[in-house]
Amino acid sequence: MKRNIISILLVLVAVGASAQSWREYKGLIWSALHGLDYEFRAGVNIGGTSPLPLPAEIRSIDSYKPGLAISIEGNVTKWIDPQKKWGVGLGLRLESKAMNTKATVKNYGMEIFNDAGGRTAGLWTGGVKTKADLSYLTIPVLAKYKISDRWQVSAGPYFSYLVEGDFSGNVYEGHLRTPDATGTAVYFKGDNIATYDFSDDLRKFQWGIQAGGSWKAYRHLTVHADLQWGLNDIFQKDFKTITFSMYSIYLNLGFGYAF
Amino acid sequence: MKKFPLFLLLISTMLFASCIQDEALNVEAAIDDCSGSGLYSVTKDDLAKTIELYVLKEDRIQELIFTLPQGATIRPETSEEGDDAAHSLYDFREKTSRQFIVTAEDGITTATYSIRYNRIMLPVSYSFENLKQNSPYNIIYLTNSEDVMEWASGNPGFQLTGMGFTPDDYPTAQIVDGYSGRGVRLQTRDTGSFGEMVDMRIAAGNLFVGSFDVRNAIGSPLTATNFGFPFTRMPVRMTGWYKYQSGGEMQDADGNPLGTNDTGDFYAVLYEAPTIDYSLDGDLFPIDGRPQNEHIVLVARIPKTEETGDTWTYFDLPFEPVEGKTVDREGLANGEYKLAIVFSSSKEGAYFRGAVGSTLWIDEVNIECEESTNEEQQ
Repeated sequence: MKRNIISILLVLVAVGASAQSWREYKGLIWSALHGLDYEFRAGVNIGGTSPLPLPAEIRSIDSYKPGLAISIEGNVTKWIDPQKKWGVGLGLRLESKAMNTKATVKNYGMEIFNDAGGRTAGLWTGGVKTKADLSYLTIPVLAKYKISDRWQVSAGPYFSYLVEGDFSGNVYEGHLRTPDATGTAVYFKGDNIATYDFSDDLRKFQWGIQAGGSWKAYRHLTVHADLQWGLNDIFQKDFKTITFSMYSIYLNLGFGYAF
Repeated sequence: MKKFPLFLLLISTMLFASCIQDEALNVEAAIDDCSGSGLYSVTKDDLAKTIELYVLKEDRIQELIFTLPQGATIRPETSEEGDDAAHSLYDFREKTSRQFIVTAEDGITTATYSIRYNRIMLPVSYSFENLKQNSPYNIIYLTNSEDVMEWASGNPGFQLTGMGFTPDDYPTAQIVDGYSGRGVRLQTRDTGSFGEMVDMRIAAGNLFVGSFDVRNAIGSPLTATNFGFPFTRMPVRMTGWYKYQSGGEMQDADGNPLGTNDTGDFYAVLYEAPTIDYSLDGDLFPIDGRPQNEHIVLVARIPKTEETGDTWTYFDLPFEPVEGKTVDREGLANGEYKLAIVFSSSKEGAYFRGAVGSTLWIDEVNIECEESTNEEQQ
C-alpha cells in the first residue's frame, strides 16, 4: 500500500506540474470568478492509535516509533463571503496512519485464538508490542477562516474508509494468568512470544474531527499542521478481545501547493 | 521538517506519560508454588485447586512457604492449635486436609485451595483404572486403593494451545479397552498455530511419576516435567504391556523433516536425590551428545518400541546399573533415592521432535523389587 501511495503521489505531482500552465491562463480565471481555491498537499501523519484515556491496565509506554505515514491530498475551498474570510473546504486524502509501540501492561484481558478455532484466554502482565499501519481514503469537510493573507485556520469532521490495515503485534516477557485471575501463571521469557493479528477486525469506516492551520510561505507554497482526532473505535463493534476502544489521534504536518 | 517529529515525539511522550493512570491493585489470586522443609514432592492441580504434600517423616506441623501473585495474601480457613503463621508453620495433626484462602491485593478476587498432607509410599503396580478428572483432560490416579497420587502428564501444557476440544484431543488420555480393564493412550499431537508461535509444534503424549509445572511449559519446557518420587526398595525389573504405532517421519521443533521415523520410549530410572526436593527433569537423556544426568543409578528402558499393530506386547525390562554407580542400601532405606517412571509416544518429544500421530498404548505395568525387610513397604 505504501508503495501505491508513493506512486500515486508521484503521478499527482507530475499531473499537477503539467496542469499548471493550463491553469495559469484558464482555470485560475474561472476559479477566481467562482470564489474557488485549489490546493495540493503532501504531508506526514505522526501520532498513535490508543485507548482514551489510557486504561489502568497500561502501566507504561516503553517505546514509541512513528511509522512512515505519508498523506497526499487535493482540496478545494469555496469562499462564501465577499471579503473571502470564510470558506468551506472539501478534500480527498490518501493517507496512512502508522505507529509501533511497546508497552508494559498489568492484568490486560486477552485471548489467543488458534487456527483450529480454539482459544486461550487470560490476563496478561508483561510486555505488549503493537504495530499499526492503517491506510485510509479520507474526505475532510472543513470550515475555513482566513486570519490574514498568510494565516488560515480550519476545522471540521473527516470521514475515512479503510483501504488496507495491519494491526498486529506480540506479547513478551511476562506471564499469562489463565483462564482467569485465579488460574495458572504461565511464564513467557527470552524468545517466547505470543503473536496476535487483529487486522481482520478493523472497522472500515472511521470518522473524527480535524482542526489546524496553514501558513503561506510563498505565493504558492503553504505549510500546514492539522490534528486529526478519531471519534469511533478502530475495531468493529463485535470485537471483544481488546476490552477498550482504540482511537486514532494523529497530527498531519506538511506543505502544499496553492494554485 | 527534520526537527518537527522529534519535537512532537517529546510532546506525545509527555502526553502519554501524563495519561498513565494510578496503578490498579492486582486482581490475581492463586498459589503459584508451595515449598517447605521436609516436603519431597508437591503436586498442584490448578483446576481443582488442590495441593498434595508428600512427606517422608510425619511431623504433621509443616512449614509451607507459598509463592503468591504480587500483593496477594493467604490464610487457613480455620486456624489450628499448632499454627504459627509468623514461621509459616501449619498444623495438620487434626485434619490432614485443610482449606487455605488466597485473597488478591484488590481484596475482591479469592481462591480457596485444599491442601492435603500425605505420607505415602509409591505403589509398584499400575492398572490405570481410575480417573481423578475427566474434563477438560483426563487425570489418572496412580494409587488404586486410596485416591491420592496421580499420574502427571503434559496435558496442562497442551491446554494452552486451545487445541483440546474434548478430553480425547489431548495427548494423554485413558482408554476403555486396555490389556486388562482400562489403559492409557499417549499420542503425539499437533499444537496448531499457538504451538507454531512458540516453536513447539508437537506435543508428545506422556505419562510420568512426578509433577508437571505448567508455569514453565512455555518459558523452559524441559524443566516443566519433574520426574520421580522417593523410593526405598531395590527395583529389579519393570514389566507390562504396550502397543506402538509410529506417526512416520519425525520433524524438529521448527517443523523441518528429520528423515527418520519416530519411535516411542518408556523407562524407569532410580536416581540419587542430593536434596529432598531434587527431581530429574525432561533433559535427563540429552540428545545433543551431552552425558545423561549424573544422578541416575539404575535404568530399565525399552531399547526400541516395535510396531505392534493391534497386538498387546509384553515387555520385561531389567534395571541395569549405570557404569560406576552403585546403590547405597542404607541411603535407599532412608529415602535418598527417587524412582522416575516415564512413558512417551515420541522418544525425543521433550525436545519437540517427533511425528504427529505416533501412539503408545500402555497397561498393567509393574515394578518388581527385591524382597523388602522394611514392613512399611508392604
